[in-house]
This record gives sequence, structure tokens and C-alpha cells, in this order.
Amino acid sequence: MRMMDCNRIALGAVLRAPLRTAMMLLATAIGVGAVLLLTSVGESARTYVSGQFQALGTRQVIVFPGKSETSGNMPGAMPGDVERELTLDDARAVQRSPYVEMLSPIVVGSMPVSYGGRERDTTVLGVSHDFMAIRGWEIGTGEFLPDVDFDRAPPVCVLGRTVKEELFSEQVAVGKWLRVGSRRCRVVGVLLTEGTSLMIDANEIVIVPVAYAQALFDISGLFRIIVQAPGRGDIDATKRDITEIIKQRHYGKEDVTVITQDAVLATFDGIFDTLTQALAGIASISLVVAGVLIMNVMLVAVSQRTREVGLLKALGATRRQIIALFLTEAFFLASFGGLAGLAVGYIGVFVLELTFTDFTFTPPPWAVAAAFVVAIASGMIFGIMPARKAANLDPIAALAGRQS
Amino acid sequence: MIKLEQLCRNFQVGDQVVHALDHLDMQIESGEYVSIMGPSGSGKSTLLNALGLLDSPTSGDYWLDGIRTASMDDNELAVIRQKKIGFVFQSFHLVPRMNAFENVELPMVLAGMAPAERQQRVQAALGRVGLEARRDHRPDQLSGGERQRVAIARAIVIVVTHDPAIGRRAGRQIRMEDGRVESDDKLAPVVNA
Repeated sequence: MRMMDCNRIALGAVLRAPLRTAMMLLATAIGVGAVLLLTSVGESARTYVSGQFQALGTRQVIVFPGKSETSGNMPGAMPGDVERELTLDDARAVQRSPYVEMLSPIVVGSMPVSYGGRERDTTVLGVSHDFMAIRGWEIGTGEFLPDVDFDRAPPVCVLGRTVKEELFSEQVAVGKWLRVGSRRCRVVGVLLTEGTSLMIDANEIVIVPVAYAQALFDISGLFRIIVQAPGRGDIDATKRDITEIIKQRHYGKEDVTVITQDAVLATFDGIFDTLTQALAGIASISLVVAGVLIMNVMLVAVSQRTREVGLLKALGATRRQIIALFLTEAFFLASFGGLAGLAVGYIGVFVLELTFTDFTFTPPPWAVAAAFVVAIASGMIFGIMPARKAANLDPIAALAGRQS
Repeated sequence: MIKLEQLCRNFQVGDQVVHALDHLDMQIESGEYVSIMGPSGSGKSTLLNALGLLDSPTSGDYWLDGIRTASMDDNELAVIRQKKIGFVFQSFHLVPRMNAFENVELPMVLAGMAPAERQQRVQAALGRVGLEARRDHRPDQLSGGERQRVAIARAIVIVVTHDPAIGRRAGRQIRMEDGRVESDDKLAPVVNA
């Protein structure tokens, strides 16, 4: 029997039983569609989270005091842990590295701030002028901290939006003098940026020069140094150079931890890859169910067409030919179902995109390919049993419509 | 040419063994027109199934055109059926979703014949049974007689060559009784078969 004839006969059988074909198409389509949709959701979550990290800047390197391997705690979380703290001099030394484009020392603490009769506790963030550029934050009104040496502590501050509203309501804040702890400083700007990054809520802060914050909290060390490398490719060199500079300054002791956004990003990538794969696995179960359905429908087809199988055998069809015919039929059913499933999946993705406009949903190519291949494979594998059953029929009994 | 030698076909029915064909000897020459008669249960269908290679005998030998078929497996028998045997079943057994042309074409499709040759042969076979005009009709669009003629066309499409002697030679009537040949008579030549 020729390949083309086999396809033609099997296709005829598929098309001349539209209801049966439609049911099987539906089953397979739901399976394939489910894989596409669920993996799109997983992929979308991953893209969303990486997008958030990208927004933080992937050229950034963060320096903590203390070595993370020697302590189970978060480095720098407990002042007693740190053998030698990071200082403004360390920051200045790091800034001279050719692998550092800009940096900002960071000091964080909590202080009561007040204006007029209103007072509240607020996070006070001590940074330098470059901090805003590194973070990509934006100023709403006024300007950011002046570009002065780390040591200098002009009494100026920038407010987060919530802080500004709570202390000043509708009044203009820029130019007013704010009381921060025991000191006073002049408001030079209000942030436009909102939202949380690096565990700091941009709404709920007062930003002051780093030396000012050190004086305020009466400390000499730094919480962190945030560094921006010249390019993405320089990050490893930046990391190495910073470690080396600090080591030299700290008498040969490698007592800082340098982490990159990429490391964090990679971890999240891994988590979401696993999530997407798990979703794909769950959705694949529906493909196997579709395969079982194909098997059942093919078994019914064999019983319904017992006489036809008997006739084919009488006309000289070999076992192999009968199996080929029924498997080809299963193949057509499964692949049409797979194609319908791709359509269902992409329509579903489109609907998701329209519904959740903040996210982009794209089924990963591997999931699309895998869903299609698994659909066809499961249809074929589950088609083997019915095909063999047909091939094993006794021609005389089959011609009489009996199955044995 | 068909030659049977001590052919037996036994069926187990409960505790009893039924000898549907009981040590049958028979020889049929090429071109002969044979009718087999007998009461029900005399073994006609069993004999035809055995001759059509749809069923394997319990014992004995069957030579078809000099080929000994008793020792062949299912696939080898299928190939011989493909090449040498045409069936016209009592209920015709046409494939309902195929039209007359496709039904007649089916044995040649299974034999893997080239489409061009198939086309020609189907046309010829449909012509011989007078159904050229019905080639695109499915069985449910044909009358009972037309369906039978499609079945005949399908049976002769591979087997029958244009031998003018066929059907005009002397006929032969075999009567069966209890799995044995009761009588075997030559008849007058059939005219207008």
C-alpha cells in the first residue's frame, strides 16, 4: 500500500465521522491549549519579576560589610558581627576603581521628623548625589541632593511623597525647614518615584546627605555601598576589583560581601523556570487524558468498522497495513487536535493579554513544541492498542460483524 | 487451478467436534465455472472460506496454482488473496464512506498498484458491469442490484483477465452433504453468463 493511499483512506475515515472527530479534537485541543495557557502564565510571572529586577538596574553591585560565608545572619544586620565596618574612605577608594562608573554610600535609620505641629517616625536614608541616577529615581519638584564630597553634610533633604503629604498637606514643601531628630534641614526636593525597591519604600523616606545621616545617627560606618559598573560585561571585574580594594584597605582581610543583581535575578529565574515547567507538567496530564480518549474512540471505531476490517483482510490487507491505517487515523485526529489546541491556546493568551494589560503573556516556544509533540505522541501511542486489535481480527468473524 | 487433498476442517462446539469438511478431495481447473450446492450445514461456506484462504484447514492440503498454502502464515495468505482471489459477498460488504470507484479500487490500493494503472482497471471493471455512470456514487446512493455489481467489479478487477473462454466452458455442479462431496456433475456449457 502506498503512503499516499494510506493517508487518503485514513483521512476519509476521519472526515466522514464529523461528530467523533469533533469530540476528539476538542479533547486534544483542551490539553494543548491548557499547556500553552499555563506556561504563558508562568512565563509571564517570570518576565514580570525579571522586569522588576531589570528596573533596579542590572549593572549594579552592592557591597555589604562582613563576609556572608562566616555568618549565618544577613551581613551587616548585627553591628557586633562586623569585624571592620565600611567607611566613607572605603567608598572613596572604591570610587577610584576604573571598573566603577559611580557609587553611593548608604546609611539607613529611623528618626522622628516634624514640621509645624506634625511629627512622625520615618526611615531616613543617607546617600550621595549619584544615588538617584543609579536607582533611576525621579524628582517631582525641586532637585535632588547636591553633588558634594561624601564628607560634607549640607543640611538639606529630599522627601518621599507620603512623607511630604503627611507633613505639608497641600503646602509647598521645597524651601521649608524640617526637623529631623535633633537637627534641622531644608527641603530641596520631593520624589516623583513611588514603590518599593531593595526593601525601601520610596514613599516613606527622608533622604539626606550620607555624612549628615552619620552625624544624625552618630555612627561612622556604612550600611551598604551601591555601585554602578560601566557596562553589564564589567560586572565580574567590578566585583573582583572592589573586593581587592577593600581587602587591601582592611589589612588583607576579605571582610565584605559583594553581590550583584544578576545573582539574585538568576535565582528568581530558576524558581520561575521550575514553576513554568511544573505548570506544563500539570497541563500535560490533560494531554494524556486526551490520549486515553483517543484510545477509547479508536476502540469504538474498530468495533463499528469490524466488517470493514474483515473486508480489508479478505481483500488481502496484511496486519501491518491494517495497523498503518488505524495509526494514521489516530495521527490525523491527534495532529488536527494539536493544531486546534494551538489556536485555542493563542486565543486564550490573547484574551489574557486583553484582561491583564500590565502583563505580557507569551507561551515559551519549548512549551508550544512540547505540547504539540506530546499530543501527537499520546494519540499515536494510545492508537496502537486499537490498531492491533483490528489487525488481530479473524476475517471470517469480522465479515460477519463479530469481534472474535 | 485448485487442488484439495484430504482437506479437513473441524470445529469444536461444546464437547462435540463437528467435521465441517471431512477429508475432501477436489480438483478445479483454471477457467472452470463451478457451483456448489447442498443443504444448510453441509459445509459450503466452510469450503468457500477455505478456498478463499480466509480460514485455515485443520488438516490436509490445498494447492492454489501450484502453491501449497497449508503451511503459510496470515500475512502470506493475505498477499495471495490480494493477487489471486476475488470475493463477492452475500451482503456485498462495500465500504459505506467510499464511492463505487474507490470501492473497486480498494484491492489494488492494498496491493500497492500505481494510480494510473488502477484508474484504467477500475474503469474497465466498472464498464464490464455497466456502472461507469455511477462511479462517484456511494453505496447508500446505489440500488441493491447496483451495489452487487460494484461488488462484482471489485472481485474481478484484479483477478479476471480478458479471457473470452471464461464462463463459456462447461459448468460444473458440486453437491455437498455432511462435509463430503455427494455428486460432481458436468453441465452443459453456460451461454450468456
